[in-house]
Amino acid sequence: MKQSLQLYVAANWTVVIVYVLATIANAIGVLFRKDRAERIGYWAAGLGLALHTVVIAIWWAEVGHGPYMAPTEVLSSDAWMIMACYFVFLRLYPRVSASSLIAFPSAFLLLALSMFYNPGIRTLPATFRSIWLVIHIGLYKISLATLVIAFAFSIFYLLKKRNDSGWLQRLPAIETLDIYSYRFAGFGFIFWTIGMLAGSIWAYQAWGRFWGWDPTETWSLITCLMFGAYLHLRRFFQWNGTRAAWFFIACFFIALLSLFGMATLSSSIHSEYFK
Amino acid sequence: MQGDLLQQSMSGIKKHITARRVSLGFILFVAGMMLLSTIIPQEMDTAPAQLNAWRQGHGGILWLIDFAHLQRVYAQPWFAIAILGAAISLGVSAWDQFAVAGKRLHGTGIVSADEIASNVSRQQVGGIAKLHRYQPIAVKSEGHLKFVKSPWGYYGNGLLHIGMVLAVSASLYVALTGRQGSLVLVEGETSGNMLSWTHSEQGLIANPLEMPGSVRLDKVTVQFDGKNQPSLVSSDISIIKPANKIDRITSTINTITKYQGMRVYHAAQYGDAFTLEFVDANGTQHLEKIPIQQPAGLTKAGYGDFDLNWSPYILSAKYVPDADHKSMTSNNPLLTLRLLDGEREMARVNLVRNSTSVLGPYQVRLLNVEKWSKLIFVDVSGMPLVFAGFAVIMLGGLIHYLSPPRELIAIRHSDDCYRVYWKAPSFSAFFVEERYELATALTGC
Repeated sequence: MKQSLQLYVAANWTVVIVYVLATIANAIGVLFRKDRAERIGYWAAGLGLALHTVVIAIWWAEVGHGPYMAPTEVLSSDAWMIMACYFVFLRLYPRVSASSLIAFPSAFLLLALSMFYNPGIRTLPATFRSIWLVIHIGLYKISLATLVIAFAFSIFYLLKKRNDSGWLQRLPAIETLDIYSYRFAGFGFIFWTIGMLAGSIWAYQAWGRFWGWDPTETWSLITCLMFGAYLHLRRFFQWNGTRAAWFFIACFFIALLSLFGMATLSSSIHSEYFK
Repeated sequence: MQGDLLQQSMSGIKKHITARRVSLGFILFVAGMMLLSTIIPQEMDTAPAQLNAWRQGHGGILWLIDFAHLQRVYAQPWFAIAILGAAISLGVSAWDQFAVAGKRLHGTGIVSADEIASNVSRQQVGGIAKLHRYQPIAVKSEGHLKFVKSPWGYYGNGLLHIGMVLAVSASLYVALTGRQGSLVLVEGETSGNMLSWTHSEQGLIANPLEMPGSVRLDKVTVQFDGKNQPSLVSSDISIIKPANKIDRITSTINTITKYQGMRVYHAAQYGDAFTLEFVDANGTQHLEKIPIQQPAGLTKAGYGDFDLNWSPYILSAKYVPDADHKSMTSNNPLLTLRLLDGEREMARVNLVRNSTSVLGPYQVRLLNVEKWSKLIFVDVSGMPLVFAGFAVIMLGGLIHYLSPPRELIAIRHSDDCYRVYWKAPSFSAFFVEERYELATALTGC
């Protein structure tokens, strides 16, 4: 068991290194208009993602449960989902390509951070054996990945608005950056909401109550309402551009607080996996 | 005259209820209250000692907290009224959105559309529209053709709001009328009367939940898989009704058991209960039964702290499932007891079945080990509506964000020649390629 844990840690560090190389190549490609470097970045990221998938799958078989019981597993699967969603969205909407400048570093930082959380094997409590739990967690991870892309577009919008020169000129038009940020925030909102609802279905099946007002639940609902307010402001109050970008960035940090902050700071069923 | 007045005042009320600022105000108010509840500790989820400590440290604002009942935010009528207000506002605005969606779908749609081709024949427009999966929509204007891709997309936002109304209203009903009680029992133990719950709660307008009889825990079964993870946890219980009529049911984790209109849940709390005999310096015997949570693995421990009413000390206990670390079901657990005087450890001892040792001023013997579990009895109606609301939210959200409508509009300007316009009412930047493909495919007459 100790040997497999050492292998797991070594394999994860290997993936981190591949992701870092992908980030460097991609950044050189995007920032200095080096198409070859950008392509190498994508290939390296793809290779990293493939390796990462294998590591997660083997560890899943080893510990007997999905990657959501220990902080190491949670952060690693978040990193995996960011990379996987990036490639899926890149296929659907080619203009999201530049968001790799935020998505790739987010992935390697999360994965590297996961290695400092005392990797080990956790037992899956009996109440965690539910398909609704898997849906609940999976949707939050997809939501995080889409919010990272929306965050990238908000940042790009603010940078391009301030100074549209150099590498920023290679980005899509400023209106497109704004609309992409809006759309991906919408994706994030809907996945977040459905994830929250799936969680309440699971809680109802497991404990007979669908809402318990624990700190993570409460903050998750606050986040959902804040994204709801953001979408309302954009749709009905014609909020766009700079103030919408700043508002989204604030919502994004609230989402991070809900996902990671409350799990670390509070004590509840949701924080158990982060202890 | 009176009818006109009534109509005027109704539309005035509707205008105010559906005002965007009102909807947004309700959302932000509810979010603000939740935020407040995370800053001010709430009675329902904070231990009394912690609550008192917090109150002592915030003497200056206690008058406001007590006046507005801010330590019981979720049980306040004004919080329920705010949620009800949000639900009404969303409901009326959803109704309007459906009407608007119908108008948009069947309107000419020419406003803000981009011209992408001119002099195109009717046949060609129809063919290209079909090829790109744009469906023909009937419009009343003469000489207008309209094709829409994902026409259901117009209704996504309305559905999203209807789902929220349904879920919020049903949740409010559940919160007001739901009731539940939980029992923590050791094998062989019988609960007291029909209201003697270990813990119970009910909505603002509900009576406490009553059992039809007393409850006896007959047997707890815990099975483990090859990785020592619990694969099955169940409890056999007997409900003893008046005249000694007994109903037997089995409650299992992740499986809901129905009994006389109630739903019975097996909680995640279960494990071993240790019967201990203490003998103090005066020779007085004290029997204690301490239930401790099942450990999560062979080398992991379950923990519990117990306040003994006959001793000035706290008894802190932990156990591992097998003294030899070989099996989760060995029936030979190793119990470690510590006697604490505040933070200071006074004494510590390890015990297995039938062993005796000295723990500080006491002699202690482990007499027996039995299983215990926690069972939850729930009487609630309205949940199907809550989940129906969830389903509608999911449907509406997915339709709105993943499948927005796109319109292809053709307006005849001579015999069989049309000018063609395209628009995506929302997120048009995402469909630039689609617009380009259509514009390229539509050549002249």
